[in-house]
Amino acid sequence: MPQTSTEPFAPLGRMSEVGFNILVALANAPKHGYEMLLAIEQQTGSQPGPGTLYAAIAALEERRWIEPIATDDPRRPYQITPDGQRVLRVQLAAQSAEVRFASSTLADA
Amino acid sequence: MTSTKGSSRARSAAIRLLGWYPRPWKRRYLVEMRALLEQMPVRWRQVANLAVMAVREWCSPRALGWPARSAAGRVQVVRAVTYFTIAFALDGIARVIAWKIRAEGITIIDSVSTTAAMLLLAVAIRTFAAQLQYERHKKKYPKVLESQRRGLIGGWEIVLWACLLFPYLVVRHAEPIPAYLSRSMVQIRPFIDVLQVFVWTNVTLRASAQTKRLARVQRSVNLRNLGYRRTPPFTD
Repeated sequence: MPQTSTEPFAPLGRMSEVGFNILVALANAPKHGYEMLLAIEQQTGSQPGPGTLYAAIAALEERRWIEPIATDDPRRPYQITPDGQRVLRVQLAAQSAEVRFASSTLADA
Repeated sequence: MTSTKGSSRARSAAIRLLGWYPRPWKRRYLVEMRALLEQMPVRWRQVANLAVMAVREWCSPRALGWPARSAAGRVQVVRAVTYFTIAFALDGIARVIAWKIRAEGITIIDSVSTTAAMLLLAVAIRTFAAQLQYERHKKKYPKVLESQRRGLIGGWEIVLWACLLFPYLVVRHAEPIPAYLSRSMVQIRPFIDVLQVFVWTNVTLRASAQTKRLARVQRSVNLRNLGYRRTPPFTD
Protein backbone atom coordinates (compact mmCIF):
# COMPACT_ATOMS: atom_id res chain seq x y z
CA MET A 1 0.00 0.00 0.00
CA PRO A 2 1.60 3.32 -0.99
CA GLN A 3 2.07 6.12 1.51
CA THR A 4 -0.72 8.67 1.18
CA SER A 5 0.45 11.54 -1.02
CA THR A 6 -0.89 14.32 1.18
CA GLU A 7 0.91 13.22 4.35
CA PRO A 8 3.68 15.86 4.56
CA PHE A 9 1.24 18.58 3.52
CA ALA A 10 -1.72 17.46 5.63
CA PRO A 11 -1.16 20.10 8.35
CA LEU A 12 -1.50 22.80 5.69
CA GLY A 13 -5.19 21.91 5.28
CA ARG A 14 -6.72 23.73 2.34
CA MET A 15 -3.33 25.20 1.51
CA SER A 16 -1.78 21.78 0.85
CA GLU A 17 -2.28 21.80 -2.92
CA VAL A 18 -1.09 25.39 -3.43
CA GLY A 19 1.74 24.77 -0.96
CA PHE A 20 2.91 21.80 -3.02
CA ASN A 21 2.68 23.87 -6.23
CA ILE A 22 4.74 26.66 -4.65
CA LEU A 23 7.47 24.24 -3.60
CA VAL A 24 7.58 22.84 -7.14
CA ALA A 25 7.71 26.38 -8.56
CA LEU A 26 10.63 27.28 -6.30
CA ALA A 27 12.49 24.01 -6.82
CA ASN A 28 14.71 25.27 -9.64
CA ALA A 29 15.07 29.01 -8.83
CA PRO A 30 13.89 31.69 -6.38
CA LYS A 31 10.72 33.50 -7.49
CA HIS A 32 8.57 36.39 -6.32
CA GLY A 33 4.78 36.27 -6.01
CA TYR A 34 3.81 36.94 -9.62
CA GLU A 35 6.45 34.55 -10.99
CA MET A 36 5.06 31.90 -8.64
CA LEU A 37 1.54 32.51 -9.98
CA LEU A 38 2.76 32.13 -13.57
CA ALA A 39 4.72 28.97 -12.69
CA ILE A 40 1.67 27.48 -10.94
CA GLU A 41 -0.47 28.32 -13.97
CA GLN A 42 2.05 26.49 -16.12
CA GLN A 43 1.91 23.46 -13.77
CA THR A 44 -1.83 23.20 -13.22
CA GLY A 45 -3.52 25.30 -15.89
CA SER A 46 -5.04 27.72 -13.39
CA GLN A 47 -3.84 30.45 -11.04
CA PRO A 48 -4.68 30.56 -7.34
CA GLY A 49 -6.02 33.87 -6.04
CA PRO A 50 -3.50 36.32 -4.54
CA GLY A 51 -4.98 35.82 -1.05
CA THR A 52 -4.68 32.04 -1.32
CA LEU A 53 -1.13 32.34 -2.66
CA TYR A 54 0.05 34.44 0.26
CA ALA A 55 -1.78 32.31 2.84
CA ALA A 56 0.11 29.31 1.46
CA ILE A 57 3.38 31.28 1.41
CA ALA A 58 2.82 32.20 5.08
CA ALA A 59 2.12 28.56 5.98
CA LEU A 60 5.26 27.36 4.18
CA GLU A 61 7.35 30.13 5.71
CA GLU A 62 6.14 29.23 9.20
CA ARG A 63 7.34 25.68 8.62
CA ARG A 64 10.67 26.94 7.27
CA TRP A 65 10.11 25.17 3.96
CA ILE A 66 10.67 28.40 2.06
CA GLU A 67 12.39 31.64 3.06
CA PRO A 68 12.43 35.19 1.72
CA ILE A 69 15.56 36.62 0.13
CA ALA A 70 16.54 40.03 1.47
CA THR A 71 16.09 42.69 -1.21
CA ASP A 72 14.99 46.31 -1.62
CA ASP A 73 12.51 45.32 -4.31
CA PRO A 74 8.93 45.21 -2.95
CA ARG A 75 8.44 42.03 -5.01
CA ARG A 76 10.33 39.93 -2.48
CA PRO A 77 11.62 36.65 -3.93
CA TYR A 78 11.42 33.37 -2.02
CA GLN A 79 13.66 30.32 -2.17
CA ILE A 80 13.14 26.75 -1.09
CA THR A 81 15.07 25.65 2.01
CA PRO A 82 16.79 22.25 2.50
CA ASP A 83 13.80 21.23 4.67
CA GLY A 84 11.45 22.23 1.84
CA GLN A 85 13.46 20.22 -0.67
CA ARG A 86 13.30 17.18 1.60
CA VAL A 87 9.53 17.51 2.00
CA LEU A 88 9.10 17.94 -1.74
CA ARG A 89 11.15 14.80 -2.43
CA VAL A 90 9.07 12.80 0.06
CA GLN A 91 5.88 14.11 -1.51
CA LEU A 92 6.99 13.33 -5.07
CA ALA A 93 8.11 9.83 -4.06
CA ALA A 94 4.71 9.23 -2.43
CA GLN A 95 2.88 10.48 -5.51
CA SER A 96 5.00 8.29 -7.79
CA ALA A 97 4.16 5.29 -5.61
CA GLU A 98 0.47 6.17 -5.86
CA VAL A 99 0.67 6.41 -9.64
CA ARG A 100 2.44 3.03 -9.86
CA PHE A 101 -0.15 1.46 -7.55
CA ALA A 102 -3.05 2.94 -9.56
CA SER A 103 -1.47 1.84 -12.86
CA SER A 104 -1.01 -1.73 -11.60
CA THR A 105 -4.61 -1.79 -10.33
CA LEU A 106 -5.83 -0.60 -13.74
CA ALA A 107 -3.68 -3.20 -15.49
CA ASP A 108 -5.17 -5.98 -13.32
CA ALA A 109 -8.74 -4.90 -14.15
CA MET B 1 5.24 47.92 -13.82
CA THR B 2 1.45 47.82 -13.85
CA SER B 3 -0.37 45.25 -15.93
CA THR B 4 -2.88 46.66 -18.44
CA LYS B 5 -5.08 43.54 -18.31
CA GLY B 6 -7.96 43.18 -15.86
CA SER B 7 -10.03 45.99 -14.45
CA SER B 8 -8.49 49.09 -12.90
CA ARG B 9 -11.48 49.35 -10.55
CA ALA B 10 -10.98 45.77 -9.46
CA ARG B 11 -7.29 46.47 -8.91
CA SER B 12 -7.94 49.51 -6.73
CA ALA B 13 -10.63 47.57 -4.80
CA ALA B 14 -8.18 44.72 -4.29
CA ILE B 15 -5.47 47.08 -3.01
CA ARG B 16 -8.00 48.68 -0.65
CA LEU B 17 -8.96 45.22 0.59
CA LEU B 18 -5.41 44.65 1.79
CA GLY B 19 -6.30 47.06 4.59
CA TRP B 20 -8.78 44.47 5.86
CA TYR B 21 -6.04 42.02 6.79
CA PRO B 22 -4.89 41.74 10.43
CA ARG B 23 -2.03 44.01 11.48
CA PRO B 24 0.69 41.31 11.88
CA TRP B 25 -0.16 40.13 8.38
CA LYS B 26 0.01 43.63 6.93
CA ARG B 27 3.37 44.27 8.57
CA ARG B 28 4.79 41.18 6.99
CA TYR B 29 3.08 40.92 3.57
CA LEU B 30 1.36 44.22 2.68
CA VAL B 31 4.20 45.59 0.53
CA GLU B 32 4.64 42.32 -1.33
CA MET B 33 0.94 41.80 -1.94
CA ARG B 34 0.51 45.35 -3.15
CA ALA B 35 3.43 44.87 -5.57
CA LEU B 36 1.83 41.63 -6.77
CA LEU B 37 -1.57 43.27 -7.32
CA GLU B 38 0.05 46.13 -9.22
CA GLN B 39 1.79 43.66 -11.50
CA MET B 40 -0.82 40.98 -12.12
CA PRO B 41 -4.09 41.32 -14.06
CA VAL B 42 -6.76 41.76 -11.38
CA ARG B 43 -10.35 40.72 -11.95
CA TRP B 44 -13.29 40.67 -9.53
CA ARG B 45 -12.63 36.99 -8.85
CA GLN B 46 -9.29 37.93 -7.32
CA VAL B 47 -10.98 40.66 -5.27
CA ALA B 48 -13.43 38.09 -3.88
CA ASN B 49 -10.52 35.77 -3.11
CA LEU B 50 -8.77 38.52 -1.16
CA ALA B 51 -11.94 39.31 0.80
CA VAL B 52 -12.49 35.64 1.72
CA MET B 53 -8.86 35.15 2.70
CA ALA B 54 -8.91 38.35 4.81
CA VAL B 55 -11.83 36.94 6.81
CA ARG B 56 -9.98 33.63 7.08
CA GLU B 57 -6.87 35.39 8.38
CA TRP B 58 -8.91 37.16 11.03
CA CYS B 59 -10.13 33.75 12.19
CA SER B 60 -6.56 32.43 12.27
CA PRO B 61 -4.28 32.69 15.33
CA ARG B 62 -1.98 34.70 13.03
CA ALA B 63 -4.35 37.65 13.51
CA LEU B 64 -3.19 37.70 17.14
CA GLY B 65 0.46 37.46 16.22
CA TRP B 66 0.73 33.69 16.72
CA PRO B 67 1.90 31.13 14.18
CA ALA B 68 -1.21 29.56 12.60
CA ARG B 69 -0.34 26.02 13.63
CA SER B 70 0.37 26.84 17.26
CA ALA B 71 -1.83 25.33 19.90
CA ALA B 72 -1.22 28.45 22.01
CA GLY B 73 -2.54 30.62 19.18
CA ARG B 74 -5.66 28.53 18.97
CA VAL B 75 -6.06 28.92 22.72
CA GLN B 76 -6.33 32.68 22.20
CA VAL B 77 -9.14 32.23 19.67
CA VAL B 78 -10.90 29.63 21.82
CA ARG B 79 -10.59 31.98 24.81
CA ALA B 80 -12.23 34.83 22.88
CA VAL B 81 -15.09 32.54 21.80
CA THR B 82 -15.45 31.30 25.40
CA TYR B 83 -15.65 34.85 26.75
CA PHE B 84 -18.36 35.65 24.23
CA THR B 85 -20.30 32.51 25.15
CA ILE B 86 -20.05 33.33 28.87
CA ALA B 87 -21.15 36.89 28.16
CA PHE B 88 -24.13 35.68 26.13
CA ALA B 89 -25.12 33.15 28.80
CA LEU B 90 -24.88 35.72 31.63
CA ASP B 91 -26.94 38.20 29.65
CA GLY B 92 -29.54 35.56 28.82
CA ILE B 93 -29.99 34.50 32.46
CA ALA B 94 -30.23 38.15 33.52
CA ARG B 95 -32.94 38.71 30.91
CA VAL B 96 -35.01 35.79 32.22
CA ILE B 97 -34.78 37.06 35.81
CA ALA B 98 -35.60 40.61 34.67
CA TRP B 99 -38.60 39.31 32.75
CA LYS B 100 -39.88 37.57 35.89
CA ILE B 101 -39.37 40.76 37.93
CA ARG B 102 -41.33 42.78 35.38
CA ALA B 103 -44.07 40.11 35.22
CA GLU B 104 -44.59 40.40 38.96
CA GLY B 105 -44.99 44.14 38.63
CA ILE B 106 -41.91 45.06 40.64
CA THR B 107 -40.49 48.42 39.60
CA ILE B 108 -36.83 49.24 39.92
CA ILE B 109 -36.36 52.46 41.84
CA ASP B 110 -33.73 54.95 40.69
CA SER B 111 -31.45 54.46 43.68
CA VAL B 112 -31.12 50.70 42.93
CA SER B 113 -30.21 51.25 39.27
CA THR B 114 -27.78 54.05 40.22
CA THR B 115 -26.11 51.81 42.82
CA ALA B 116 -25.78 48.99 40.30
CA ALA B 117 -24.22 51.35 37.76
CA MET B 118 -21.79 52.72 40.36
CA LEU B 119 -20.69 49.21 41.37
CA LEU B 120 -20.00 48.44 37.75
CA LEU B 121 -18.04 51.67 37.41
CA ALA B 122 -15.90 50.67 40.42
CA VAL B 123 -15.06 47.36 38.75
CA ALA B 124 -14.30 49.19 35.51
CA ILE B 125 -11.88 51.60 37.20
CA ARG B 126 -10.16 48.74 39.03
CA THR B 127 -9.75 46.73 35.82
CA PHE B 128 -8.34 49.63 33.81
CA ALA B 129 -6.03 50.63 36.66
CA ALA B 130 -4.72 47.06 36.87
CA GLN B 131 -4.14 46.92 33.14
CA LEU B 132 -2.32 50.30 33.16
CA GLN B 133 -0.18 49.27 36.12
CA TYR B 134 0.68 46.01 34.41
CA GLU B 135 1.74 47.78 31.20
CA ARG B 136 3.91 50.24 33.16
CA HIS B 137 5.59 47.40 35.09
CA LYS B 138 6.17 45.48 31.86
CA LYS B 139 7.90 48.48 30.32
CA LYS B 140 9.96 49.21 33.43
CA TYR B 141 10.94 45.66 34.38
CA PRO B 142 10.83 43.58 31.20
CA LYS B 143 12.60 40.60 32.81
CA VAL B 144 10.58 40.40 36.01
CA LEU B 145 8.48 37.24 36.21
CA GLU B 146 4.76 37.68 35.66
CA SER B 147 3.98 36.19 39.04
CA GLN B 148 6.06 38.86 40.80
CA ARG B 149 4.28 41.79 39.21
CA ARG B 150 1.88 43.78 41.29
CA GLY B 151 -1.44 45.31 40.39
CA LEU B 152 -2.89 42.34 38.58
CA ILE B 153 -6.41 41.22 39.34
CA GLY B 154 -6.60 38.17 41.55
CA GLY B 155 -9.05 35.27 41.45
CA TRP B 156 -11.22 36.63 44.29
CA GLU B 157 -11.62 39.91 42.43
CA ILE B 158 -12.90 38.12 39.36
CA VAL B 159 -15.52 36.39 41.49
CA LEU B 160 -16.42 39.77 42.97
CA TRP B 161 -16.71 41.20 39.47
CA ALA B 162 -19.09 38.41 38.43
CA CYS B 163 -21.17 39.01 41.57
CA LEU B 164 -21.41 42.72 40.78
CA LEU B 165 -21.98 42.50 37.06
CA PHE B 166 -24.88 40.09 37.25
CA PRO B 167 -27.20 42.28 39.41
CA TYR B 168 -26.28 45.20 37.16
CA LEU B 169 -27.46 43.22 34.13
CA VAL B 170 -30.71 42.19 35.84
CA VAL B 171 -31.44 45.79 36.86
CA ARG B 172 -30.62 47.05 33.40
CA HIS B 173 -33.01 44.61 31.75
CA ALA B 174 -35.73 45.05 34.38
CA GLU B 175 -35.88 48.84 34.31
CA PRO B 176 -38.15 50.45 31.69
CA ILE B 177 -36.50 51.67 28.51
CA PRO B 178 -35.78 55.41 28.86
CA ALA B 179 -38.09 57.61 26.79
CA TYR B 180 -35.23 59.68 25.37
CA LEU B 181 -33.80 56.72 23.43
CA SER B 182 -34.58 56.74 19.71
CA ARG B 183 -36.28 53.75 18.05
CA SER B 184 -33.05 52.59 16.40
CA MET B 185 -31.18 52.83 19.71
CA VAL B 186 -33.86 50.69 21.36
CA GLN B 187 -33.41 48.09 18.61
CA ILE B 188 -29.62 47.87 18.96
CA ARG B 189 -29.68 48.03 22.78
CA PRO B 190 -29.64 44.22 23.29
CA PHE B 191 -26.54 43.93 21.09
CA ILE B 192 -24.81 46.71 23.04
CA ASP B 193 -25.63 44.85 26.29
CA VAL B 194 -24.02 41.63 25.06
CA LEU B 195 -21.03 43.53 23.70
CA GLN B 196 -20.64 45.33 27.01
CA VAL B 197 -20.58 42.09 28.98
CA PHE B 198 -18.16 40.57 26.51
CA VAL B 199 -15.79 43.53 26.75
CA TRP B 200 -15.80 43.51 30.55
CA THR B 201 -15.36 39.75 30.75
CA ASN B 202 -12.48 39.92 28.31
CA VAL B 203 -10.74 42.91 29.85
CA THR B 204 -11.06 41.67 33.41
CA LEU B 205 -9.93 38.12 32.73
CA ARG B 206 -7.09 39.36 30.54
CA ALA B 207 -5.85 41.58 33.37
CA SER B 208 -5.76 38.68 35.79
CA ALA B 209 -2.44 37.35 37.06
CA GLN B 210 -3.32 33.79 36.10
CA THR B 211 -4.06 34.71 32.49
CA LYS B 212 -0.83 36.65 32.08
CA ARG B 213 1.24 33.86 33.58
CA LEU B 214 -0.52 31.23 31.49
CA ALA B 215 -0.04 33.24 28.29
CA ARG B 216 3.67 33.62 29.00
CA VAL B 217 4.15 29.91 29.65
CA GLN B 218 2.18 29.01 26.54
CA ARG B 219 4.19 31.38 24.42
CA SER B 220 7.60 30.17 25.61
CA VAL B 221 6.66 26.49 25.24
CA ASN B 222 5.21 27.17 21.82
CA LEU B 223 8.28 29.00 20.56
CA ARG B 224 10.60 26.32 21.95
CA ASN B 225 8.56 23.57 20.26
CA LEU B 226 8.73 25.41 16.96
CA GLY B 227 12.49 25.71 17.33
CA TYR B 228 12.56 29.50 17.00
CA ARG B 229 15.95 30.91 17.80
CA ARG B 230 14.98 34.43 16.83
CA THR B 231 11.78 36.45 16.39
CA PRO B 232 9.13 34.36 14.62
CA PRO B 233 7.66 35.80 11.40
CA PHE B 234 4.34 36.72 12.95
CA THR B 235 5.37 38.34 16.18
CA ASP B 236 3.41 41.55 16.48
